[in-house]
Amino acid sequence: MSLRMRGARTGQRLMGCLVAVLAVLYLALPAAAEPKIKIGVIFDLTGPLAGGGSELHHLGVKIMIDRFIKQGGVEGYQIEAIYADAQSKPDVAINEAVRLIEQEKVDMVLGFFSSAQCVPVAARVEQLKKFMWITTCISSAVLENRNLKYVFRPQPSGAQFGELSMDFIAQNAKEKFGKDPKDLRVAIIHEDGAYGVDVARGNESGAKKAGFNVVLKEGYSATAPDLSALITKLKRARPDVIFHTGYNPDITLFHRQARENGLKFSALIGQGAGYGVYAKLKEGLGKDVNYLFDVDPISIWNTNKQVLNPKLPPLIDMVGEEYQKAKPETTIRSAHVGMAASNTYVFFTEVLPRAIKKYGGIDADALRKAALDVDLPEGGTMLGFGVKFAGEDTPVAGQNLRAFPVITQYIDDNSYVVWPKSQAQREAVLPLPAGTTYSPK
Amino acid sequence: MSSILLQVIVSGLLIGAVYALFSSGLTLIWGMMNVINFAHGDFVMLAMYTAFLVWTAFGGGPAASVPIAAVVLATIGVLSYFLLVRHIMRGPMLAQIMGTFGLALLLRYSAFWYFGANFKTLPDTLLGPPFVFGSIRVDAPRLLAGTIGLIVTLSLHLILTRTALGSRMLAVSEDATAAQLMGIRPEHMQAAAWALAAGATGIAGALIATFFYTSPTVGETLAIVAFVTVAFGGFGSVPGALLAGLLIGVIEAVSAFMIGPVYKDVIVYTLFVLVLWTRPQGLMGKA
Repeated sequence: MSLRMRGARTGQRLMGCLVAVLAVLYLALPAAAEPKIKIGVIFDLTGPLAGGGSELHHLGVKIMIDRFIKQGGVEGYQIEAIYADAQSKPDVAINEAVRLIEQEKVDMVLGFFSSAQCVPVAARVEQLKKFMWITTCISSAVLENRNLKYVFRPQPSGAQFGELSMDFIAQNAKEKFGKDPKDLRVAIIHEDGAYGVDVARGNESGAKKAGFNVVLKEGYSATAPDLSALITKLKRARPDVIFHTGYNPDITLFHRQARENGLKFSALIGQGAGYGVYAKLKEGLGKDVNYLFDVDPISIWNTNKQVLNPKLPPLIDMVGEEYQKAKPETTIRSAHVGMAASNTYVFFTEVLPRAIKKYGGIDADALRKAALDVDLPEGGTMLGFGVKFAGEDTPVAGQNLRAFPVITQYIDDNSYVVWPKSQAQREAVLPLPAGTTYSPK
Repeated sequence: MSSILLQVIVSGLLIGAVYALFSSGLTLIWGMMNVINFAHGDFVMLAMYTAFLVWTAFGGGPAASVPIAAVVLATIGVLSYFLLVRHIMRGPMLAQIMGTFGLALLLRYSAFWYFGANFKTLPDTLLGPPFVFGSIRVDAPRLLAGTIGLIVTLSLHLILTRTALGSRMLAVSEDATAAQLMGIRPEHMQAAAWALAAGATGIAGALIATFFYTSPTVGETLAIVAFVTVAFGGFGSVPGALLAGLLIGVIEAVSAFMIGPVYKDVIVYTLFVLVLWTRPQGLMGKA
């Protein structure tokens, strides 16, 4: 082969390489021109927490993320969500958060149903200097005295749940039970994870404030196959009112064993998580679901639309339609879906655009500064409350100081807000009507 | 003894009999073949779903679901033996562990795929109102599960010790080559052991489904109890599993009542460690 021919071949090869490099660069160029925020979304899609409410939160977040993807992103940034399953296990939640951050290179993580997962994951994400937006878990232990810089929670805290439910009964003690608070026998029972312990702590402080006679305070494992010893203790303690914090299926197990063992009480206040999923409660308890209470942020379908920002009601309708499409068998729309959708919406409308426009990007510091700037008055979110986060160097840095839960009662396949009075849709049915399964009369 | 404490002990005995029932299959397999079946919890899960399917398809209660689950699980047990266990038994111990662990994951994620992640519960009206004996109340599903648990566990023990089949199975477990020289086919006996163990697990699962939730991961929760029961009672000993199951049930119930449900596991596992410390072969295992 002549030198000239060899030279020509080499030239052709070089030209081929050049074309290939240019093609790769060309393909890469549009990506560079269209910035993107990658969000890792973590909920429990398997394991007992999935049916206890986590899957519904996943749905609420997904509805909202899909909406923003469909509208073309936020402030020129495309949105890519990577969904992960925590499998109802804290260790898996931590591993998934780290995997999303280190391998999938997400810019932030969002979601988290269980407080037992939130507490360690928040610490790890903070270490990795990434932004974490908690849509769901409520334990105070996630944020209290930890001075986390990059972790924000628009939700109310567990202690607020516990205090509100106690206040509700205290304010109704005389009128509904015919007793002074000091004569009212109350029992506090809770799953023994971060969530249950925190709500029970709020219960205890609320009970002290109200002057209730606390006859029993007891924790249990949410995966226990038998709660008969707890029920026997409750029977011996004879409480008028039981304050219960649990996930489900432990809630179903508790109520079934309570019924079989003849436990009687005048009211039971459920405090979030499993008590917010009406369909599963009804499936497990049948007619005994009637007159149960649930403490949670208000269901977005129950908020007073008159006091909301006018742009929010159409969004509430949209979330409801998508919810029904995804779960056509739904009778009472769970507050969980709305909660997650609303908290995600706040991120996409208040934090992300501000971070991009005012702080120049989507890194953790820009998102943190943007979150600290959020200042929404009451009525500014679908959940009715406003948003203002506690700043750094405060005991609850990252906590939304304007969030509050409400108390809902299930009556004849409907849910009604019954407390606080400012939000109430109807008078609470208290105590349990005579002749119902758990009623002492 | 106060009636309240008696109530607690009765509840503990009933749940303990259920522990014994779903642990007996695990201990039987170990005793027969020196194989730890890490898919045991998932066998229970499959039996629970079988009960759920029987109810949704025909509205059948335990009278229908228990025999059906026993047959279904016995079949799955035999298939597991011929398709997997027989082969991995030729490998090192690690291969056996990984093999049955892989089977556990296969069953669990198949359940996820088919049934979804959401937990299911059978209606608690299937068995009628609770039984009241003086001041003691016993709910029907637990009474049924506890009673059948006792009967099945004792029957397993009798099959192993009082029948020709049991003698042949024990002969294979003692010395498979010698048993073969006596005209016993080890593979058939080992397959029978898997059928028996998985069948008993099927009965346990169908009964547990009447009072406990069913989900693809429920086996994980139950398997821990089964392993503790088997180790406590002695690997390979069916009477040991029965004794340990009853003891664990009562200790759990009494400590939950006297100290608190949060601490019951601390008490149970402290006693468990103490027993193994002084008697590593378990209460009724061979040294």
